[in-house]
Amino acid sequence: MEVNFRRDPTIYDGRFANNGWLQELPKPVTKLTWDNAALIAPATAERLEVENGDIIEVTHEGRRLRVPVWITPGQAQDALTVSLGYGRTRAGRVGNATGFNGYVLRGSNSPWFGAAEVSVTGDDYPLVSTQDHWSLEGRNIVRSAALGEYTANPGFAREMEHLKLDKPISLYPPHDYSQGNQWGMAIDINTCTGCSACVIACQAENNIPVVGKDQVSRNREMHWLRVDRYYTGPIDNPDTFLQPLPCMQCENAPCEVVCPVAATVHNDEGLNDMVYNRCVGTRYCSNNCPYKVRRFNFLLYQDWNTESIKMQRNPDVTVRSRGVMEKCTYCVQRINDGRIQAKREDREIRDGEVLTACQSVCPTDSIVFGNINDANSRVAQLKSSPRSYAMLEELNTRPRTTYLAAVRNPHPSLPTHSSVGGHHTEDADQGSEPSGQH
Amino acid sequence: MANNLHRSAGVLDVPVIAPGHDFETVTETVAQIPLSKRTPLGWIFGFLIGLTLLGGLTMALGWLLLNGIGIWGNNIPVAWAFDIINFVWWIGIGHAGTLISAILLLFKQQWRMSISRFAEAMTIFAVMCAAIFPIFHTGRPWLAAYWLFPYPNTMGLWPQFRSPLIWDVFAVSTYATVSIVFWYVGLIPDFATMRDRAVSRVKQTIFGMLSLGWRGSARHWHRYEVASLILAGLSTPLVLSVHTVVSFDFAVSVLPGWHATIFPPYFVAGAIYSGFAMVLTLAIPVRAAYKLQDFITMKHIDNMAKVMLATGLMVGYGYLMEAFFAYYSGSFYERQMMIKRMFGPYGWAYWLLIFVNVGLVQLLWFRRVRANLPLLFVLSLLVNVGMWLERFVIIVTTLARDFVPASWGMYYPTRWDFITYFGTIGLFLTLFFLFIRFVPMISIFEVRTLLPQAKVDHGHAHGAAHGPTGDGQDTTPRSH
Amino acid sequence: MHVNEPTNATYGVMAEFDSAQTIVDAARLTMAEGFSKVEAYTPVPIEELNDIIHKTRTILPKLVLAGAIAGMMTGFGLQYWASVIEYPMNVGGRPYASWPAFVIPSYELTILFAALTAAGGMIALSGLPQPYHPVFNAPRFSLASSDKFFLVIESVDPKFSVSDTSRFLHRIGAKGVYEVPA
Repeated sequence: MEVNFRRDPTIYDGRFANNGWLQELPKPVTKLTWDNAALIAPATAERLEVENGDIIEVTHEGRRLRVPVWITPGQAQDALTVSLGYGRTRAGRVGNATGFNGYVLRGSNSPWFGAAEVSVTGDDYPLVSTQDHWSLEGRNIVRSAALGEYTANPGFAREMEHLKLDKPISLYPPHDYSQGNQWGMAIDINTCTGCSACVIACQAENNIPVVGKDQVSRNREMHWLRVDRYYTGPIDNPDTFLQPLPCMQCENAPCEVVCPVAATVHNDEGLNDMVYNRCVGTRYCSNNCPYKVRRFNFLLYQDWNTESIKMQRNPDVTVRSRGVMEKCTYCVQRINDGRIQAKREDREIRDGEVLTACQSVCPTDSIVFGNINDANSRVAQLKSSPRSYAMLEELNTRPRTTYLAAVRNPHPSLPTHSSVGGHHTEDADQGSEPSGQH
Repeated sequence: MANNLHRSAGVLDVPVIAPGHDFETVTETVAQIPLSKRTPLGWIFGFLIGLTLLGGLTMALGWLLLNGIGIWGNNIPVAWAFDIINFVWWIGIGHAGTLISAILLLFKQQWRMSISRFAEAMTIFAVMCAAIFPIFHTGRPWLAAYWLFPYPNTMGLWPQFRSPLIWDVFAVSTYATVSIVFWYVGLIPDFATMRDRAVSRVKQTIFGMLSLGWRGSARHWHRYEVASLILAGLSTPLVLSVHTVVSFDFAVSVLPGWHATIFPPYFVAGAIYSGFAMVLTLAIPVRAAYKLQDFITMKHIDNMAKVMLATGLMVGYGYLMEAFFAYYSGSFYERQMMIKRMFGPYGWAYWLLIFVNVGLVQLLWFRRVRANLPLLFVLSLLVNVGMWLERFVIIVTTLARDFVPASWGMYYPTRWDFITYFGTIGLFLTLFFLFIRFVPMISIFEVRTLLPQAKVDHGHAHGAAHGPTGDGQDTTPRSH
Repeated sequence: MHVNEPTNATYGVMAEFDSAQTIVDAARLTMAEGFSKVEAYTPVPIEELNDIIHKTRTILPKLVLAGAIAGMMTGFGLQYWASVIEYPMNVGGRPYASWPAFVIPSYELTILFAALTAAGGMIALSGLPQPYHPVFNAPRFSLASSDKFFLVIESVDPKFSVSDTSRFLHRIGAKGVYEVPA
């Protein structure tokens, strides 16, 4: 066996171990939080007869570490990856007692990889991941094609619908959104690297609380924006797709209809407004959201008392108490700021003037937000691209957040399953029921 | 009375009331229970169990108010779980009482008379247990308690009437109110009986006030009968609408497994099914403990079991149709949902519920089963377990496995989920035991109408609502 | 002696019967005899008695209909006013006047108002609650709620006389005749 040491994708070399945001940030590929693990290939796990969370003892150059495994499709066989920076004992209140210390194994002879022996201990450890299901299950949520297919048929993404809709299927005329600013967002799956900076930016901007490992294990993480990660193809060598998922801001929002107290309604600029002070917390809106973008304050997750945290928060955004729903607002506070500024200067809001938090930090410019009524705006142009598609379009939710399908260009001799999202693709059964925490 | 069973023309030939009674014996048998000073030991035992569980409920709700919904197992995506399962379960159970009181009255079924009052009481208590959940399952119940109702306020805000939860508010409030009113109206003449037979001054005063001074005058009886018929006629569409509206909580959503047109009749049939099971669960021990077998005869038990069978078959049809729709619709998500429901992580619940609700219920075809009281008692408990599982399967499997696989997540109940649920059973038992102890549990004046002393000649039955039809419904005493 | 003015000491005379059949027959004979201020008190409802003695039917059904219509209009009106006029909001792109949704609470309120009218109307039209009534002064009357049937002819009836009316009641089959103090 080979053991590899890597800087941790969220807490780096350990210097950020005491940072709650980074501890709770799901790691880009594994979606683990609050711990590291020994990443292991599915075939190797099968050979060793271990499941997620089973603790193995890794021996490298005479040094030993007990560390739980995490099955990671695409990991090289008979190779483990242990990220550094965890297992600190004097990191602080947040960072102590998290993860397993890779530095114990690592030596200056071979600081990045080396030979190792592995034995199964029979113990286990609860590892917490925010996404257990990596398969698209035959659904067209993420769409992709190989370059050749794209060149032949640029509009391939539009054809990958389960149900073709020629015209709107409502009995009622739609509301008129032809006037004024109408906000929309286009997210390019092709350029997203999964770095998750957008998630942290959103957390910083919108006063999103850290809930802790136990609550994340109960599926209660509060990130408004999440990055979903899907594998397609053979499990030992899959293609990986990353999809940031904010609120879709649907024009026919299913969440709005079912709220008994009108705590979520639609505004004139196309935003689905969340009214925290009206919300009584029936959670029907979450149930009816097909994208599951809504988050609920099951407990009082916000720190109500520490003075320094009060100074850290964004004063433009409400701090939510327990019992209310929350979700991505397209950074409505920034939109309002932009509108006020424009009014002061007696002009319209210019394209690119209002940036959502996620957009402003994305290193590859995958997230583009703007006014779709402005034909010259970047977002309007991206939405008119043939790669553009809406998620779950057949539900007639009319989402303002749309995606640009990926185009992959693998070498012809590599096995590839780049065509993703068509009807009933064969990877429906792969990785359906993991042995993870939840 | 088991040895009195014999068939004639396939109909159980047991009278609706045992022979040998007159007005006085009927009145005395039922009225002496609330009026007696003695409290049976079994009652004390049962009441204490109910009270203990009720204590658990109080603790659970208190802890919930202090901490939040997080003490339960709900999460995203499964934002509704035990809370709404229990709500639907309790409301469903309540439907049998209204069916017995109202619908069977409209169909002139005499066998309803001796069971209607405690079935109605069961309805009221079940609705009270159910009503806990819409308030307490919210994140901010102290606001939900009044913001869901339409009232003028300084914010100028009104409820959002397109939401099925608001429809629930109207339907369940109406149902609770009408049930209580119907039950109370039915009690007025019997409260007068209690007033006139009570010995202690306290009981005379209380029953006196409750009876409103009822004297049984012909004019008043006439209005009473008209009102009863009207209330029955109103309660019938009401009871059908209430569980329909509850089913809309699911049917109006977009989720596969919820968004189905079969839901309204399927839920109503399921409600009646579980309600009759609960009536049997209560009637079988109570009639034995209080020696009421002359009034709640094997005919009643047999009929109730038959209603259970009929509605159980309707529910089974519902399951079949759900599976068929999933296939026939060609909808990708619907098919996937059905496969996941049957073979996914909660598949054990699905097959258990099919076993009970479709499999075990077939036992009720056999008269020997319907006449076997212990077996029927166990079966009625299992039916309610099955119906609880049905709501579990509907709610949790759909939420746990919906459109976007990255959001899929499991649900695990916590101890507070269980304490709260059993606590509501405690509330129900407490109320029901209080009812048995202090209120005449059989409608005395209605049962009197079955006796020869109440017969009037030339054709037409007395009372539009009560009394025998002219076609030989069995009321005269037979010598078996 | 014919007395047209009411005698203050007596409310009327009360005859006791054992079964529904006997009181119905007696009531017929009583009305045929020309008495008008008559009432029967029974432990079970006997529809024939109302037809024989009072002849008219109650207006309660009409009141209930009015209540039902009031309920429907209140329900629909409230929702329409709140959602279209007072505080219209774009909820899920649905029209402001979402009448299919409004049907349901209107339906429920129809039933609620009708039911409350039926029950409340029945009680109010009967003058209840009325804790005191002269018939309660007759000691045997407590059996009216158990197993005896009573026919009362009030003293304000023009043909009333304590002795004659009592004799009449004995003649038509009363098991007992009592004077009811006012």
